[in-house]
Amino acid sequence: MNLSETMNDGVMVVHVKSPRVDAASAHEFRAAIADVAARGHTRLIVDLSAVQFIDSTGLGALVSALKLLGRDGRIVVVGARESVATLFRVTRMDKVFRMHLSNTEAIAALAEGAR
Amino acid sequence: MNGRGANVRLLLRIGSEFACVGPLGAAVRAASAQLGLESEAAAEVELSVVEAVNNSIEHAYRLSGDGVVEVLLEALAPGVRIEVRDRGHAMSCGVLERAGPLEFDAAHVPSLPEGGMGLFIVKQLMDEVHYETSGSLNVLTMVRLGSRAGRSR
Repeated sequence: MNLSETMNDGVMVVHVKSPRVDAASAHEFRAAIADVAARGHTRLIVDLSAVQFIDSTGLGALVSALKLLGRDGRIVVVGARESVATLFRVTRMDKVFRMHLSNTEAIAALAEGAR
Repeated sequence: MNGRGANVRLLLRIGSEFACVGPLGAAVRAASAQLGLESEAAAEVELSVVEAVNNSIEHAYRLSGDGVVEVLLEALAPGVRIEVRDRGHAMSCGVLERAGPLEFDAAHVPSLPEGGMGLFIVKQLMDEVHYETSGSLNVLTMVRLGSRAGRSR
């Protein structure tokens, strides 16, 4: 799985560069987020703008990763295209992982949640 | 939809390994679009097929990697009919019927499900879903008639 990281206004942004997050890659995806959590980041933006497909296994990996972030952990999603957002909506996980159009919007949402 | 593709049938066969599912799903999506489904509907068909095939690999073949999963895609006018077939362990009676809305408290992270969502997703995205076992053959049949416009979820 191809991932990269950037810091944006003090918030860790994990960019998922692989076009698919599925059963073949979910374990690696979860491990990558776990590595970020182990470095002390508890509020993350996951950039899915390059992802064309995600299945429930990939979504489950994101849930698992959220649990690793601990009590104050939060993950928000940016850049999800319609076909990706559909899975979040159908499963109601859009109530857990708020979807945003931009990093700026996502950072503001995380800051709001931290108050 | 213009009904093009009537009488078209495609049979796709993979080994029961997750690495094979991505290319299979992409082929199903492309074929569904070619047969006239709108882009988002074709994407939802891909997701449904991937969920069903994942279930065959995980539950029917129990991750053994030595099974075969077949996907038969037939053109309807409009839509597609898909069978996902395996010869592994059959799904228990009533599992498909019981696959209901996911119950969790979004604010309570420990309660969030990490799995067990596949059949519910399939039921949400497809117009018809049923499951049948005949001898050693298990068949999950799904029908998607077209776009979601006007459909209630």
